[in-house]
Amino acid sequence: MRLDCKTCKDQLDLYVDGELDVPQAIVFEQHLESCPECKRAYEQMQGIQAAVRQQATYFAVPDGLADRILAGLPANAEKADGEGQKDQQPHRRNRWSWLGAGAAIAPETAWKWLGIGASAAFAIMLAVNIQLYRNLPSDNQQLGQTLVEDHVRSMMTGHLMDVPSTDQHTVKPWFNGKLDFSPPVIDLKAQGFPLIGGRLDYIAGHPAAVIVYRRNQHPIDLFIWPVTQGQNEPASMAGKHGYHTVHWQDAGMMFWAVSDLNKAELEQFAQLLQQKLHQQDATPVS
Amino acid sequence: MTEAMKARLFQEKVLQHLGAAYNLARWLTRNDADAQDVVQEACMRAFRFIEGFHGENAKPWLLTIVRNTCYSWLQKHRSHEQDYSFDEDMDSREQLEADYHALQTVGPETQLLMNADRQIIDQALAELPPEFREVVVLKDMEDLSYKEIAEIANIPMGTVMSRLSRARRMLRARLVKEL
Repeated sequence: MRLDCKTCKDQLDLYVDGELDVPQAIVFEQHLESCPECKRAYEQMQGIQAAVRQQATYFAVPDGLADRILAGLPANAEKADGEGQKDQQPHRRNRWSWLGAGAAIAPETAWKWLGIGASAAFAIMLAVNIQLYRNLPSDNQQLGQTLVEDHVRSMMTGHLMDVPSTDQHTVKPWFNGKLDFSPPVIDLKAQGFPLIGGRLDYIAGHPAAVIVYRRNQHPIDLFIWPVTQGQNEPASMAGKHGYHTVHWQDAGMMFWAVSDLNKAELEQFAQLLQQKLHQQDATPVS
Repeated sequence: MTEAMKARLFQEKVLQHLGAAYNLARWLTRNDADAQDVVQEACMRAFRFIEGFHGENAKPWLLTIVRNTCYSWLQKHRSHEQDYSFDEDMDSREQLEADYHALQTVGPETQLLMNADRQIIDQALAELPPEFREVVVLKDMEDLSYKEIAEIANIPMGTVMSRLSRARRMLRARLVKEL
């Protein structure tokens, strides 16, 4: 079937936008090969599309907009549950007060830790999402990607911690009543991985504890949730855009460490944690 | 759904599309402060109605809310600007054929078009009526399908195509003047 110029004219935008099905597209292209006028028309339309794609300004999200939006939402987690609709003020003080004076981590600092601007962070966020759908990852790879996303998202929104504290005796009991398990909270300050706080999170629909550490300027999220008994050695994976994960199972818990810290140091972190965990098991601690 | 669950869902599914939301709002309102106001309002609505969202990809859903919020906002604050009568079938058959003939035979080298200055492109895009501008943004900047654009703009797919077609010819005509 040969196309005539009239049909070519009608299908031009469809072709430019990839909306013709394959047989239609092939017939269209065949016409272009033998018709220099329609070929030129196509190139002109495609040129306009390319001009917009490549040159038109894609406006970046201004600083602070994400924060303002989040701050304007009714607060979530433990304060809102069972209280129904309340006005925002009391929640703001409870949940977001640390955003203001005396905050351990302000959102601006979170941006700086990421080392990139807001729009780049969103680009990474999007890229991580796209990769998730493009590949056919194993369960662990998929989980790893989810956790990297969660980590990046926490950085982006400045919501790194529900309980900012460098004291394990503050962080550990904070989880009481919020989780039906007690996560081990281990301080590795002496080894160069100080504890900076914790938060509650939901991974694949179930609650998880996140213990937040720091190695120099790199935050490390340690996700912990209970699993049936099992034990294995730490296994590390490279995530997207320079993020790494190390995961292992021990003492009835699943551990996933996520950071943009380099692989070697993150593995070191995991090893130190495991060692200390076993030491702690040996000597009962309240 | 508790407020906590709604907030979690919002953060997981919706917030990542803030970039697309702001860009669309910015192109429709043509002003940073107004775009921010619109996006904040749209996000409040998205949060309130989030229980109605089902699925994996919240981008078209969010952009629908943003677009509608933009148009309500434009109606309220910028009604004086609508001094053109938006006519879907503005071009006669003869006009369309003459346009196509021009595409086939006259005008600048394609390379010149593609390399047009950013300022000129931005200006040309800003001058399009919003109904044409939005389909260009949704197609050429967000790379959404005709089907998705049809849903967001609440128009048939055929209208998406004809608006894109006309928008691109208007852009070309504008660029030709500058080059």
